[in-house]
Amino acid sequence: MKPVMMRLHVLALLVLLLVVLLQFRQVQRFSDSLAHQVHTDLEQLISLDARSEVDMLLLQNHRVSNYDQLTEDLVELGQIDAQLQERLAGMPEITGALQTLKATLVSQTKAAEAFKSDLGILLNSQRYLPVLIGQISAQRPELRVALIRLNRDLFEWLLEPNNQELEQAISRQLNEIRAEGLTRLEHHADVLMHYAPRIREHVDAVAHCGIPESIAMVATGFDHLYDQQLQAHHSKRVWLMIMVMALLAYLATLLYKLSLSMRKIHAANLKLSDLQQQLEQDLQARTEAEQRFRQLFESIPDAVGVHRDGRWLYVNPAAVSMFGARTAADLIGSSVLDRVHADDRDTFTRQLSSYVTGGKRAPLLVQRNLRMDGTVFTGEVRGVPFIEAGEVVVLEVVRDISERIRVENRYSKLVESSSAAIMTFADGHFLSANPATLSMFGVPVQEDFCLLGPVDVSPPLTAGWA
Amino acid sequence: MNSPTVFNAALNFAQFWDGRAATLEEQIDGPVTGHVEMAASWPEVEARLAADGSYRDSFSRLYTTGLTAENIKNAIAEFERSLLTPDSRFDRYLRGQDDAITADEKRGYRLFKSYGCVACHQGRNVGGNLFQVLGVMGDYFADHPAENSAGRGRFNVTGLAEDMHRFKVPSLRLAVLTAPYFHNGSAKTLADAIRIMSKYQLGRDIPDDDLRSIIAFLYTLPGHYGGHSLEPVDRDQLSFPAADTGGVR
Repeated sequence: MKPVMMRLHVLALLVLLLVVLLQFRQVQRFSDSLAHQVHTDLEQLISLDARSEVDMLLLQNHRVSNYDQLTEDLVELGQIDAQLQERLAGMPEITGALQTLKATLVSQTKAAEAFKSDLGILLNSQRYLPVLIGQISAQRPELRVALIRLNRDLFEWLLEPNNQELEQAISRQLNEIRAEGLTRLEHHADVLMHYAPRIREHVDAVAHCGIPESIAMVATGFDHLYDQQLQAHHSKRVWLMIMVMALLAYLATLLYKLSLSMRKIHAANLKLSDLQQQLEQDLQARTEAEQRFRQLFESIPDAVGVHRDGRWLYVNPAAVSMFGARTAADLIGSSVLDRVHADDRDTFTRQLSSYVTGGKRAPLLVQRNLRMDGTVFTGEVRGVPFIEAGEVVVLEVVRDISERIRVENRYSKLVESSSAAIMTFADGHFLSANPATLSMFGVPVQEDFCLLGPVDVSPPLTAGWA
Repeated sequence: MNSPTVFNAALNFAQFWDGRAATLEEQIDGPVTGHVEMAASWPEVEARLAADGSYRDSFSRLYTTGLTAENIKNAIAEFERSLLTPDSRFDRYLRGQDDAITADEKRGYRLFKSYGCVACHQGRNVGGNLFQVLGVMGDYFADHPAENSAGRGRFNVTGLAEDMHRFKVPSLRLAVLTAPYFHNGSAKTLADAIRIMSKYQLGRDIPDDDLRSIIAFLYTLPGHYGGHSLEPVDRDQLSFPAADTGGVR
């Protein structure tokens, strides 16, 4: 897989992963505990509403200890409503129902609080009236019957608040009391007449303020909304699963492609390893060849050296010895021309130039060379140019032929001075002839003799050769 | 204004005479920012407390949001919630210890109920759980004109005519220790307060003997705080001048 493709795949993978994470967050954000909490709150509201009504009934029956209970229930109603409003704050679809519920709870709390206040006043007068009537009757016995009747009518009216006839009768009696100047009794009776209907109104308001209906409205609205959210949640979950599957499939594909690439890399590694092994073998062979050549160069009697740019790079022991150096180091790095006789330097330089620039092998050159101590020796020199690291280097082989030349000179002198005819012959022609031969055959110069054939010299000689 | 005691305030269903604060946390705003009290602002309070390293450390340890106005209010409210005075002699009597209160105090308790005081002063805080109009059986404010807007009571909060002169019924648990009485502190003694209540709330007379017994009963209400009884040794509220007596009309 190409690096660019790999980057693209990684990018696509990251994008897909991000989408999956976002979807996961949305799925995770949904909590089914909300439905439980909301219904718990609503059930608590129903329970508290019912309990507050019971508290009010008990209070009407002089159970003053229920004041605390009613107060706590009202506070708790407010707290649970606030809690519910907070829980459902993000659901505008049921805001109306929630506002209705809140309004009914406010009405209920207000009515209940008014009930608490008014009941205290009513119960006080209700409790005190018989005592007061008893006290007045003791002081004014002539009013006893009328007062007892008033007391009876008042308490009957409390039991039958819709009895208009009774109410009118009480009203008449109160006018009589007022005429008698019984202000306190009148006040307490007024309290009874005034606060008893108020208490009933408060109880009615609490009982009919519509809390159960409001709660049902909130519950219905919430359940409908929750169903929708639940369906959306299921849909999101399905999408999440699909995305996860796609992510996994993509990952699997990528891993498969990666495994293919890995296989190719492995195969290439194996090939590379073979190549490396081959190279190592070649290198070994080359090193061994080099060692063999080096051993050859080290052991041959001819001087062998390698020079570049006119400076020695390598010399063999024979060269060290031939040039009269103490060690190879004396020669390496020094100029090649230093070891060439001054008279032969131009020739050497030309030849060197021809094979360095032309790359041609040069013919054998006989030249005079200089030893380190300045003495001269004649050598056959052959240069072989070759390329190393992009540059031309020259392998120079020098053979010391001083002794051979000396022997040749000595032989030549012997032939020249011999009285015997000495000639050389090859391929049907004379190559050379000494003065005795020329004299013997009466040929003035050697060149003319070389033009002759054996038949030209003598028949016996020719017969003898045949 | 007569500042209500902070002891047992946590048991009240609302705070202040007019109940304008539903919780102790809300109530704390009043004294801190009120011009006649501390006249401070919350940023100022925060800055002052933040200047003290120990406060900073404590708030950081106790609250995840550290030293904030809300947390300061909560800390003070939590402290106030600890200011309870339980285990009074009357509490022990209600739990079944018959000799926890004397015969006269028992009589006072019976009178407290029979005269109708209990209609408003009931529950665990012996009050503090409802609002009531001052002047049911008589026009209190005609006889005691209000000196300021505080006399309007809960009307200041709701604006409703029916809430005019309506006040939170105070707790009587520490009544013997917290003179003067009423929202304006106009009643200097318990005897004065009970006589005014009997006239304007109950619409009846309470003879001095009964009054003394009721006050004796009120002496059974202070409980304990910090392991010490709050009930005063001197019962000076039991001594009061005799009232004018007249016939029943």
